[in-house]
Amino acid sequence: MDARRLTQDEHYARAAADFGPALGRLARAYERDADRQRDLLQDIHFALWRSFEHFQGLSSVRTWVYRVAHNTAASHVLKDKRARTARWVDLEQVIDAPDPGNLEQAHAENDALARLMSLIHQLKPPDRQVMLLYLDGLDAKETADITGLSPGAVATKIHRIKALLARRFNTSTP
Amino acid sequence: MTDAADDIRSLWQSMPSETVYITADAMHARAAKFQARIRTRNFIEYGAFVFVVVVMGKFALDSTTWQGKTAAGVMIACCSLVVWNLHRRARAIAAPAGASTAALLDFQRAELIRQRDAMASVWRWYFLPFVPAFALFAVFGWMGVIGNGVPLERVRLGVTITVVLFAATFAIGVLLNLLGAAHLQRQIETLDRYKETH
Repeated sequence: MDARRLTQDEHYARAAADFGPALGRLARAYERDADRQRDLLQDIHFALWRSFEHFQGLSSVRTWVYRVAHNTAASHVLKDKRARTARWVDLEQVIDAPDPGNLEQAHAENDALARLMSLIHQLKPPDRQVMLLYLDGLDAKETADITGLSPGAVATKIHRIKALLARRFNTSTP
Repeated sequence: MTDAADDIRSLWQSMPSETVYITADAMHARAAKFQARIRTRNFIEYGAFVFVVVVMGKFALDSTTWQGKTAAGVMIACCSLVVWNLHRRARAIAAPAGASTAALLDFQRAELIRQRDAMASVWRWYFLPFVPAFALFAVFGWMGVIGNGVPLERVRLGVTITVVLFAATFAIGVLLNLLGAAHLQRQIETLDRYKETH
């Protein structure tokens, strides 16, 4: 085996071990259908492996992994004809909207994660991306690096995300 | 406000999710399959060109008239021009690895536009260059100076059929590419709706 192949495989193996759960969450956040979710996750892993052939170490591995993963998910959404007709909303619209569902549904859906996932799936992909990066614990600088948005735009979105989460989950978080 | 958000973050990060383990060998096999598809496509693109060069080269060598050799030479030159145009205008370019999402979307948009424009103008850079070569073969063939001993009636029949086929291929090819360009335009509009607008 040549040294270059070993490096690419090693990078991927480490990234898959360190970020595997995060990639799984990301696939769930971009795709509702279980079978297509599995396909997306496999595509993300393949894209990640291929990308390490060009990884120069100029950015952190974490930034690199999230960039590749989110870009693969974005391409997946753009190709999905059903997703194109989905009624996505931006953060401002979601904040102003009342919490959806009736009382029965709220009791039945006591699972905060299910409600969070439902909220994420409503968001327009650019806002969804910032939300997911925030939930995974990345700071504003890394988020700006990954998304290509300005730091100011990221900071504004994170502020809205915090307000949204506080409003929707303040009384129901386990 | 911060406590609720932090709690949700913790909940999110502890969410069980499907894990995927793909072996390096499986990755390499998938990559090899992908590269094989590209090689096949390139083979078809350039293989046709090589075929024309070989056939026209033989025709030029076998031809006993300057008209025959000229027509064959012009056909080779036209094919070379078309292949060069194909490579320059329509060749797929790989997306930059590890780019930010905004940069990737900009790249994808630029690529879609490039390919849309190539399809919309295919009559000019793909089909039109062949017209001089086909015109020479048609005129010289009709005059009976490049038949290489084949009876003139058969040569003229061959010329008629070839001209009709070329015109039909030209028309159908342009129409299909215009439909393809319209499809790419819809993809560009989808991408624009997807991208951040503020």
